[in-house]
Amino acid sequence: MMNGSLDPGLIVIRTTLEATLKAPFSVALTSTQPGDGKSATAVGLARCFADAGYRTAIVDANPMNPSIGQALGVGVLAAPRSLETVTALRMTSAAPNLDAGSIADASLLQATSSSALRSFAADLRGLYAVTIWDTGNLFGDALSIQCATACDGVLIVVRYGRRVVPDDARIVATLEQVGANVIGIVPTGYPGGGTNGAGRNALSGSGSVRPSLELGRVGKS
Amino acid sequence: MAVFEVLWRQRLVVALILVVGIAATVFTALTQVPKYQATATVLYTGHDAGNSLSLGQLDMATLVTSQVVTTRAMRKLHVNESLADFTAAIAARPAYQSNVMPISFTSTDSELAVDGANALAHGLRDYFLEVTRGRFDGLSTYLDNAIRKRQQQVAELDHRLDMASAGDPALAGDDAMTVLNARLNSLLAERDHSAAELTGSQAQVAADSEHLGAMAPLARKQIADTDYVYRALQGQWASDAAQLASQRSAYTSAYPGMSGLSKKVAGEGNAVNERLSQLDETPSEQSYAYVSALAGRDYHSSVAAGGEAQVSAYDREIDQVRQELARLPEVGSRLAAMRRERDTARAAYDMLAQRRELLLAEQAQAATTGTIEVIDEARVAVVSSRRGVLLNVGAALGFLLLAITVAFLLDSADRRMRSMDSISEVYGKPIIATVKAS
Repeated sequence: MMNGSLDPGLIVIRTTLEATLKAPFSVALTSTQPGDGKSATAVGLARCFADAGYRTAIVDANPMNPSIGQALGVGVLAAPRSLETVTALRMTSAAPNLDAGSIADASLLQATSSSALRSFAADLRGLYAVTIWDTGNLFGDALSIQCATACDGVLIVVRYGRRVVPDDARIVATLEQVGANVIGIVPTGYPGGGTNGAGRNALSGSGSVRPSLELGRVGKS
Repeated sequence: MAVFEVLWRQRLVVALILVVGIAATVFTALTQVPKYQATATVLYTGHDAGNSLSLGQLDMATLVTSQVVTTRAMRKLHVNESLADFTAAIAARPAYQSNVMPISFTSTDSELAVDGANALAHGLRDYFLEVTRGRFDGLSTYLDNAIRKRQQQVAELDHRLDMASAGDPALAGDDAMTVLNARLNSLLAERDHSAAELTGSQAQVAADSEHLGAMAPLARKQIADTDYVYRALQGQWASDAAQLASQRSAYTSAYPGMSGLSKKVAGEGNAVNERLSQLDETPSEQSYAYVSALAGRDYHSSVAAGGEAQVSAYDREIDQVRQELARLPEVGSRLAAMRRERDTARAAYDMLAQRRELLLAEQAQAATTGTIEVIDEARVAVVSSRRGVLLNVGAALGFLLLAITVAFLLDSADRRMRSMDSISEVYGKPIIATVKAS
């Protein structure tokens, strides 16, 4: 345990996913607008699972704004050359039970097919009990939709208080049309804090994320 | 709770409006000029005294703020402010189930407040008298004038009818046609009689003229018979002629002296003829018989002339009657129109007279309806602090309401995701959990 307690909202999400999906499983976090808090929520949720004893992986799948490595404080995560085998993805240990990797590479994305992505996700499920995919905006790039369909479930992240855009009304229908399993909505930035209003930071529990995670070991744990 | 959530979200706007409002209220309260209020009390007495919501009570409150009462009060007080401002300073409302109504007047001048309340109370009393009784006076005056005018109209029409009847009575009556026809027939009969007499007179004149012509030789003889010269010459000639005839029968023409006698008789015959010629030049009027016949003819001529004049007079009169008969319809219709006009005027006069009698009865009834009396005049004015407090409290409440309204308007116009319900509604999926702002 690095520091502080987790946001109670994350615990609720973890409990919900445990009840909805049977481990090993993968969950993609997406949204309609940038800045809704996908990466922060993904990192916090991954840490929550890791703290609960799950062997957890977090994959940065947001080529427009890759930020997982920076958020975890492990530097820029290197992207694999291909997704044919999971060994091609160099995972970085960010915390106990928590490895991080990235597929947010333009050259990789061009060569990536949906079947390859699903195969890669299946490989990760073989190695990790829980895989958290931090994707980009669903309507911003094709990879986000591919990731959503490759995962067992999708969480839609929305920033509390931002303006409603037309994409908000059609994101669920779009995901269900491509066969994705939309589990629910996760509002972030709620003034009262988590579900019980504890008011803790989702990522670190202390209001600051980036410096809180220790550098982990390189390679698979 | 949703209300408080909205207010919390718009807390800055709410706070801003409240702060500005309270500041404005405090500033106004600190800077406003103190106002004084004085109250006079009036009492309404009448049939319905004691009834709540009586007409008298309602009228009192309405009348005191009427334009008439307020304008008179302003004039009395020499107030130059607008009628609306003056009326706004009046507070008058009868108490429930009471015929007593306080009339308050508010002003920045305490004396004006007292005078205003008293002016309004007295003005209400006077105006109430006017509207309940004065209206009868006005109507009575109007009816009197109208009745007088109708009377004059009827009299004038009667006079015109009398004048028309007097000027031509034959035409004025209803049986003018019958009268005129009878008169015409009578004139025609008289004219016929006169014409017959005229014819007789004219025949007599003709006979007289003929007789006068026949009288001329007789008149000559009568003139000669009465002329002694002629008779002397005639006698001498007759004597000598008889002597000559005797000599001729007894002697021959050679009888001495016969030729001389014959010449003498011839000369005397010439003298007789010459005398007759002289007598022929003598006017016939020298004959008394002729003069008598001439007088008779002149008499009958004058009779005939008189008859002609009478017939002409009858003719003129007949023409006049016929003309009157011809214009009888026009005159009759004019007179009928005048009579109708007079009858209408009389009917209007009768109606006005009845209305006036009714008005007098109503006036007598109204005298018992009720009065307004000033039972307590305003004497001192008090500072209207309660009103100021109420105004300030009202202003504060108003600003609070304004703040709430603005908050809700801003919130309803806000398209941001402001609640869990709105987020769930937008996406159509349940919310698993919320995480704090990162």
